[in-house]
Amino acid sequence: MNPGFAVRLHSMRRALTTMIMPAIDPNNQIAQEQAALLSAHLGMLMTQWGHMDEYARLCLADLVEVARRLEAKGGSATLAAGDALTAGLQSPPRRAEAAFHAISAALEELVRAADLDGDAVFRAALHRAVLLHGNRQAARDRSWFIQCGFDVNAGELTSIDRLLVETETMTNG
Amino acid sequence: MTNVNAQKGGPVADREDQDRFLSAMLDRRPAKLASGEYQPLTVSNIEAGLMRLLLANGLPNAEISDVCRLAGGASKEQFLFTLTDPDAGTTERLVLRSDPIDGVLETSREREFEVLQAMQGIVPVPRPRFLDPDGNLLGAPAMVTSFVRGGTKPPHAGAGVSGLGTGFSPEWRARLAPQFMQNLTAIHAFDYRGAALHHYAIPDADPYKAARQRVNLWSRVWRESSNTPSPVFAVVEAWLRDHLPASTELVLVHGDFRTGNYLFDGETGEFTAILDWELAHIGDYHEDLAWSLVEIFGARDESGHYLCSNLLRLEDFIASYENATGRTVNRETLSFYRILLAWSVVAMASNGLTAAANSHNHQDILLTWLSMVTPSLIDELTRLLLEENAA
Repeated sequence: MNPGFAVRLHSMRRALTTMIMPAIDPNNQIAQEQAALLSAHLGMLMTQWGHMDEYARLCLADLVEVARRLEAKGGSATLAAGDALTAGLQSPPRRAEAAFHAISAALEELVRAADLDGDAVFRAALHRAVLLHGNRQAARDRSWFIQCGFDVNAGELTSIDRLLVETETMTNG
Repeated sequence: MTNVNAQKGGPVADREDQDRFLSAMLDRRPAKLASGEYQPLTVSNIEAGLMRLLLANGLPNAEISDVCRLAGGASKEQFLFTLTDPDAGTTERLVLRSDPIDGVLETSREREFEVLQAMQGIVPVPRPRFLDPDGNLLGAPAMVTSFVRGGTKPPHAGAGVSGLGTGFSPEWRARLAPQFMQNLTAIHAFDYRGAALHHYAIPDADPYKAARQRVNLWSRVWRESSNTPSPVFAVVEAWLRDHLPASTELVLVHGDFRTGNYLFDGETGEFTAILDWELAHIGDYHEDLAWSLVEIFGARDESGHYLCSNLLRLEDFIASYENATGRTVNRETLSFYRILLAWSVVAMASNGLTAAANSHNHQDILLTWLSMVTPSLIDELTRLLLEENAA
């Protein structure tokens, strides 16, 4: 297991910032910009890598909770998409990140099927459930990617460490 | 907001109704994407390609020198070079914009060239000089324009990639905001029907066509190139199709009119060029206004108030446009377009991430970085739709 991720990422970033970047032609703006982005990516990975599994499990737990509560109603397309979602929940991929993607894909298909022949009340409830979950997931992802600097409302975000306390709460009841 | 589908007892949102020029462009895309990894252009590639372009344009004795790559931009390869034409006795600095295989969006150099020609004397823009629409001479679709001096931020100010997060002091905002509005209203006053915009469709067959075609465009982009599934994207699409606004007046829409896409003089603050016309189209005037409302294109002022495009508070922004044009800004239509545009940026970011994953761009690392904007957009979209549904 040694060298671990922390020291490898640290040494990569240090090589980049102390040796490689100073050697780049100062007139080569795009090379300068890409090197700075590479350094920023590495900095973000250094913050995230140790929490990746916990974070993926936190996201998956919330999505599964939302998807389990949905009871598809409507025509054949909606019912088939509902069945596919249920099947996906029963046997998701082993890795949390892959499971999150698979269940998200099935849920997106259910939304599209409900547009075709979903019961009107079910469709409205589905939209609301997806929006509420999407808002929670966006809050998590904004914290996860806060270092990218795009968020004009960054002051309202929770730290990654604080987010992960939620994992304990959600997975342990 | 009114549900137009419910009101009319059936869908007004024909999913097949596409702008024929943009649709043809997207039809050609799979062949491009099948061409393998993108290799960034080299100076010698550029020199050889430019010589072929100049020869085809009747400049056999012209010389190319000082070729250098430009930074910035999220989807095109850009180079600055000097053209010396001994026959005319002229020397000028020019910019080459060339398409990589894929990026945040698929656009047409031919359309961009046309609109730059049309905008000469209307607003400050680079002068289009040479075009290689199919890439027969340069290896990829490309165009050459004049080089315009100016910057996207004041001297010593901070800014993020692609001009996002550019910071302005109150003094700079006071200089720039009136020009921002003046240029926007000049574009919207342009007589596009009388112009040589041969590759631009006018969506005037019915009042919903302008909005419908924009929804269909970004829906198609998502369908054909999204990097990851998104139930929220599908819910927003359904809402948009249910709430298409009727357009009362069509204008030439810049499509990316925001801070970061205009140049100004670092001392006087005078605008020197409006850039990035690749999303220009004929559409509803609310669309260009709503672009400035999408939160990632704005910032907060010293008191914490949100500033449209980092320049004006919302009410001042709308009042300024209404006063300058005599048009009424319909708040529901504005809200529709804000949601549509935030949603379209989700599609673009996902397309960019797919391009990076496939090594189809010269700035894969930038496209990956830019895709991190998605959570902020999803936050904005879900907040807006939950508010709409609660109203």
